[in-house]
Amino acid sequence: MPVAVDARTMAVEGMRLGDHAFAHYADDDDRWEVLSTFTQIGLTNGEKVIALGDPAVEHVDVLERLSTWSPTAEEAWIRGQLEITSMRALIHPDRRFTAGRQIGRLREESVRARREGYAGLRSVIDMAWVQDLSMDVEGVMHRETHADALFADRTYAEICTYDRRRFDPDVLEAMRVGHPVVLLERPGDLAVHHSVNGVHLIGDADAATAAPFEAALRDALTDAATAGHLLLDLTRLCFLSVTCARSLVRLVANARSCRRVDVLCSSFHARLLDGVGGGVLKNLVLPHPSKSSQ
Amino acid sequence: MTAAPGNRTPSGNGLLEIPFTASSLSHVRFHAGEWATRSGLPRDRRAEFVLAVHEAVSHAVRHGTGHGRLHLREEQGALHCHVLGAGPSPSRADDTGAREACGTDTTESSGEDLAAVRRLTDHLSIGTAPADGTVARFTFTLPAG
Repeated sequence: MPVAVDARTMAVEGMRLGDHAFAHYADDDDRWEVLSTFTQIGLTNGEKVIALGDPAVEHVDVLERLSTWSPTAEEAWIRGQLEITSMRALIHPDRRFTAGRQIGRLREESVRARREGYAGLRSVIDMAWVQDLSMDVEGVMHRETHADALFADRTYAEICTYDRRRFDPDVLEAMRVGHPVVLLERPGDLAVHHSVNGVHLIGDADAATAAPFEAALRDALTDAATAGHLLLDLTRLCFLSVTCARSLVRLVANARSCRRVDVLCSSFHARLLDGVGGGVLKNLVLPHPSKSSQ
Repeated sequence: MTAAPGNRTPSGNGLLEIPFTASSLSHVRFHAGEWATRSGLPRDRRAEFVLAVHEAVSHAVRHGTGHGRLHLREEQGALHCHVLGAGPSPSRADDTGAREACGTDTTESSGEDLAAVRRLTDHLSIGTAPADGTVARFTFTLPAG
């Protein structure tokens, strides 16, 4: 079952301290990509990372998998910046999971990380622990929707990753809705969200995603023909290739019935679009560099 | 424009070598961006660096063998990038999948990606290496300090 895309969807590269995200996978290779990307960004930013892996996966295998996208993971693990543990170990000596116990322990770890000189704490939690500790789904949902205080001072970030093969679709949807941030399944993916405000492109636009990128733009420009106006939100676009930037400019240039396309994007993407011809189109409005998001 | 050595302390960032194919471009971009961050390249310049790496690697995939290696090295106040593997294809049939995955090879796209790299970087040269065919080399100067 596809996971819905909405205003909270973003790529893992966009996550910051203070974010609490839902992630998902249905493939034993793909499952590590988001987690190791998140880990590497944290290590580069001088943050501590705790990986609470699937209890069925040996810690040495977790480290090896994280190293795929996180080349400094092993060094970080040796010096203590990366810890690999389990939910069972985190709540020890308690044997039974309670939201209060787990949140309290994560808060302690967050404080300890800053005391050790790190900029903050990131944790990646594979939700396979739910079966390991025989936890009921209602209890997990209660925790997911009552953990706001952990994130309030923006020194802690967390990914809860769900195996779509283990959880019922209804449970997954409830968990997705219960998180303030929803991640794309893999780095490099592209997602499209149509809202009343316009079209929002999320993730990466490159050769691998050029076809859905162009199709989304084409559809949005066609739909906007009656109104004559389209808002194109690229603020959650992590990467825009030169070829895709050119495609965007070409499609807007050819959309004569769309009199005005307002683009929201980073200053870098604004300069890129300007540089490939967007700056001279009468119906394309790029943000002024000082007003665009970074 | 030739890169001038910046007056700065080396970050200690080691050599990074990444093999690439059409299906690993996002992986390559991520590693290149993280590596540039560790070297101290400012945020805006880092976005340009990642785009330049992507365009050079994509060019190698499109117009070369469909795979290759990216070498990143910090030296004398600059980031040096070598993209190896734009050489002749050993078997055109073997390339088909990779080329299709990376988009259609058209006359229009050919050369435009490297033109973009040239605009973004401090120095770009195209040469050859005996084992790797064509090699694209470019540099980004690090800020002084």
